Amino acid sequence: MSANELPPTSGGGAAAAPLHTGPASIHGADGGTAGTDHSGEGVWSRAWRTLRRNPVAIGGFVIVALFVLVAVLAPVLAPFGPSELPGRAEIRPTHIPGPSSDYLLGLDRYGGDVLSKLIWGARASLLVGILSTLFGLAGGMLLGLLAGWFGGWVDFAAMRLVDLMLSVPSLLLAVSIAAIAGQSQMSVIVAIGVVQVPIFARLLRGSMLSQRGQDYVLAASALGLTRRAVTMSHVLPNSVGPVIVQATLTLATAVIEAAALSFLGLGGGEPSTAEWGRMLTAAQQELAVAPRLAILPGVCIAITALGFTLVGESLREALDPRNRTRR
Amino acid sequence: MLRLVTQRLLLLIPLLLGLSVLLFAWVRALPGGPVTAMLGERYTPEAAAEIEREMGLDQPLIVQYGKYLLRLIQGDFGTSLMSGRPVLEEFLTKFPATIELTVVALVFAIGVGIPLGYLAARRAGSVVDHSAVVVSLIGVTVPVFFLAFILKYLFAVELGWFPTSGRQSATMVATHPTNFYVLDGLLTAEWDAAWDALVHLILPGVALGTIPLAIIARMTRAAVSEVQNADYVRTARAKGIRASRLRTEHILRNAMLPVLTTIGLQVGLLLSGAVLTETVFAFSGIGSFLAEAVFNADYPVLQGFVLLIAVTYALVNLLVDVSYGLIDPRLRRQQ
Amino acid sequence: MNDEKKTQHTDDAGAGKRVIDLTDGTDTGTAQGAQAADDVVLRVEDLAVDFRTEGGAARAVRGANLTVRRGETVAIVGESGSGKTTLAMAVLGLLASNGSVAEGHIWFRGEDLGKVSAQRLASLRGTDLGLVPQDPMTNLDPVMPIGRQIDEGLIDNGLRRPGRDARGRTVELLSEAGLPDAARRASQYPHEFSGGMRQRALIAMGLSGRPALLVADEPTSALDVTVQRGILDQLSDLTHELGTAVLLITHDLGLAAERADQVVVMYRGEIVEQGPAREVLMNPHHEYTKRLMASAPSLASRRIEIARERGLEEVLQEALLAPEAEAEAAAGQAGAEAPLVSVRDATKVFRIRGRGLLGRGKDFTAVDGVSLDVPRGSTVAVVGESGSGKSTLARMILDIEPPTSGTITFDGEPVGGRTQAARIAYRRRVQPVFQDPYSSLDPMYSVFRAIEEPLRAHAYGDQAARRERVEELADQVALGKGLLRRFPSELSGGQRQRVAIARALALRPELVVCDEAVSALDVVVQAQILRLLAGLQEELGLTYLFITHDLAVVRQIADRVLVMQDGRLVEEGTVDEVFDSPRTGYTRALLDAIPGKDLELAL
Repeated sequence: MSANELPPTSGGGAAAAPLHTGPASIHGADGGTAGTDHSGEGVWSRAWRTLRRNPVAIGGFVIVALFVLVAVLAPVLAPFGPSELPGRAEIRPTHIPGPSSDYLLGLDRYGGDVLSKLIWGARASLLVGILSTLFGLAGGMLLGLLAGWFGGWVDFAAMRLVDLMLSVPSLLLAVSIAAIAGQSQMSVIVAIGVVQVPIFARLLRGSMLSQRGQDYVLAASALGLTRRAVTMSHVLPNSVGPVIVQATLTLATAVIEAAALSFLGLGGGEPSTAEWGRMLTAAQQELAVAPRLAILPGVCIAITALGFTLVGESLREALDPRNRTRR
Repeated sequence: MLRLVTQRLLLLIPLLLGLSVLLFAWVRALPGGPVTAMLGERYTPEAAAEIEREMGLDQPLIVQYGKYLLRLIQGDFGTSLMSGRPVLEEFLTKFPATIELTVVALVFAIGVGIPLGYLAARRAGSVVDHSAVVVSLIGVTVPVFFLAFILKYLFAVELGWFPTSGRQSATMVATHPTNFYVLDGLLTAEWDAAWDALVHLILPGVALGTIPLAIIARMTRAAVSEVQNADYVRTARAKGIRASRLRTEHILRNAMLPVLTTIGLQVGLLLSGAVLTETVFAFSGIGSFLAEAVFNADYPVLQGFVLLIAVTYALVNLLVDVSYGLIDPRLRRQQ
Repeated sequence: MNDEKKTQHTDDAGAGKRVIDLTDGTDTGTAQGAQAADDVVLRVEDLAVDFRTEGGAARAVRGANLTVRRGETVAIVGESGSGKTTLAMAVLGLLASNGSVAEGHIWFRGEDLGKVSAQRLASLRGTDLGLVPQDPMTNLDPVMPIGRQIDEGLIDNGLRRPGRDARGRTVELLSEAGLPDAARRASQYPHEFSGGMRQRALIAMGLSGRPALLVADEPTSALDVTVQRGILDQLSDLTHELGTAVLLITHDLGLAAERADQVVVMYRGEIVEQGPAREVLMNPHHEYTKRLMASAPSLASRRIEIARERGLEEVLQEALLAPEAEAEAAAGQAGAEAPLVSVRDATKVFRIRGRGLLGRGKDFTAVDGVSLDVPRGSTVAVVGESGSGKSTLARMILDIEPPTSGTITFDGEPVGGRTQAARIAYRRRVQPVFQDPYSSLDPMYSVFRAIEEPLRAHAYGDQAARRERVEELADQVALGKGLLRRFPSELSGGQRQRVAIARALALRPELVVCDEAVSALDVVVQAQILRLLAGLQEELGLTYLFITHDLAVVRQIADRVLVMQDGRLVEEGTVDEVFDSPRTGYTRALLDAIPGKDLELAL
């Protein structure tokens, strides 16, 4: 430990500074327009340009776009409704009809049209994915922001809470939460969202702390900006990159976790619900007879997760500061 | 080193206390309250009233929590509603199976993941590199239980190479002194029993190990690419040392530091995954028991298992930290 | 310590080497024809090095020719990006994986290193070719004991057997490189070594195979100046004793002048000038060398420089008479005008957190009872090595860090003030310029927005007025208007520093605190920025507080100097007083350690 390794802005001194509404408001007011007036190329537009030229990212975007399109247009695309069982009469205990001209991907054991259920399932997955990620993002950002902003004991308390949540394996945490929230799709969304909260919180806090140590933050506080202004106009915008990347990747995880929760019988509704995880679970019984019933929803989940993962990973790469500076 | 261990063990105490508070609150937050949860399907108003009195639920919350904590310290984690046996006993009899499964999964993940990641980094842009990318993508995008389905369907149902379910063939007569079936077979010199148990572990182990494999391979690749461009590696080359020495003692050793952390983090993932994998393969460990508990709303089991698993998880991470200190001298405490 | 043993040993090694040299010498003769002198160790001919990039091959070095003879030190001088390190790494066969020798030859004792197999090169490295790398912090494997890192080279090159044999030699090598208590130290890890000790270990490593050619890549530039000198002395003594040829890579002209027999100047991948060190430095021919010379933080004092620029003899005369006159003037001024900043007994104590949960915290006194005055309109420099507390002092004056005890007043008022309004008002009058131009600007802010930020924060005029002011500022710091739309990642280090200065000046502050503001820049850029700062001072009547470790910079810009060591002020005076007659041993050591001190004779 030598002297020059001391933290540049020791938490104590700076954290004690009171929060004020000073000249900062002027700064925050139309900060956005200044950036667009003088285009140059900012971090985000550069990342966007990199993404557009990256075939992996394009692949990811195409998958995601298709998925969203199918989910949104489900009522138009699906030959049957989400809970219709058009082929109920054709099901025998020993026989589940395969693909035919009526049912392009065949029927399941309840007599539902597999194609329709897959299309409606996309809608359910999109809903769960987006809502739970938003939930996790909002909760995590709030917690991380509190910790990164106030420091001191608030930070301590927030981080202990995060430790606590991370000390339980994610699926168990989700299951416990779903148990409280009851049997419904909403409870699955909340459960998956809560599991993501500590991850986002820790990420944002770490990111903010590392930005805090940068000279430009010091320079900004030396300009007389209040702590809030510095946080809002410098620290936060520079810290959200990793959080946004994580959110993209979480969309993939959420789709998978939702399937896992319905596999465990959480999430409520009929066993014949048009939902990929549920379809996969039901298909377990017919693995030897009709493997397609398991493979089709499984592949749908995997491809959707792949799309979000590819986008997330290429975004991470594009935002990596190591690739940012030209040398 | 000893100081590190004691320190970390001491840090466990507040964590467990916090967790016990949460779990205590959790039971009270369950729909219908703790009594409904305790009784499950046997619920009658009379039984509920009796239990409430018995458990002192009419007392203030803080007293109730104190009693709960006291029971926990005495090793009383409640009684399973499904089996009627103490939760701790259920955990201890089923845990060896899960340990066996996790070890096989980890061996698979590390044994394949590290070499794959290493080769991918050394030959960036080669076939190995590309296949490593594909493997790691499969790992993060395919749900564990779907992978388990597929493996089961292909290798057990269709090809018949492996058993479809269970820990040991029903026909196998074997003694189980430790409940680690493979180990039991070896200890009692029942070789066929050991082999049979091992064969039962392969498919679930591979299914469970694939996600960690993907993550480990990816981390290894990143770490090796970074280390092989490090200044000290160039300096080591300037010394004219043998290529094999450069690879093992400088590149691989330094690259292992972040990989080790990653492996520690995988344990949580493995415990989550075990719930799903064990269910698919009807493998009676804590995972499948938990899944059943969820299904049957056996809250005492959930409550107790979450706590016990958190302890396990923390201990494993402690182990990882200790081994980290063995590799990285900077983390060893001087004196 | 055991000098006798040491010299004896090196003699042995030297003798062994000489035999080899003889045979190799004849080899060289036959391979290269008649004119090859016996003592030429390395001859680089028309060398070109390419790097494969996305946009095709990029040539990093072109048409390079140079010769290194036995026992001779040849310095390659240039800025970062000039190709000097690439050239050296090509010689060692250690180019990055996308780099390769495209043209020309690297003759090393009869072999063309550009053409031989990778195996052959590997076997030459560690025996005939040695390297002392640049940064001691990143060049040692952090997870392996220092001794073993030297052992393994000795063993793998077949010089020693594993075990005690190798370790014995390692300990010899380490103590030869000036590492005290080498036997014990050899079993320690790099993190237990200071920077200087690590560099000594790297020297021991580089010389462990008794190479005929040692490449020393900026061997001391990451170290404090007092440590630098000792290590360079050790290095030149050793190589002199062993008759090792040295290829010294440096950006520091002074160092080259002091240590090298031959100097090679590189600029944008080409060798623009070479010859005997003195000759090149005293009588540069190429335009770039001249510029390099002119902008080197020359040790001629600023006053003499100004005099030379203006070509006015009377100014020189004045300068010679100045000390007295200035002292009088200073005394008069002191009576007339209070200093702008006045620090009294300022102390800053940091509490270092104890290790782990139960570890007890420890107090660390970064600044210990420092008092100083900064007169209005002057430039005061605080000099010290890393850890001397100079940056903490600057932070206290900037009101970023409150002093633990003592007072700091600015224009008669206590710094910071009690109310938020007073604090903000203070910040308007005092502005910092930080060291690292890569982290001192928000990567998400365009240049315009960065300079405009203080104006917005202090509600300066409307948008049009601010725009006008930003353009005026950009003009003052010589930033082109086209750059205003750019983002920091699109600027060079010098441009970034100009932006930082413009931002600092936006509010028309009275005091500018420059914390190592130019130390991350190449000399030519450094000189430009210093000139800019001097010009702005004259124009705007600014007061500067310069925090730096670089004495050469101090002499160029400062009026008064304060020397700090371990948190205390050890010396204070005018630049001339301190430079010409330092009162403390520490200051003297600092001054002695500046490479190329005698360079000023040349100017």
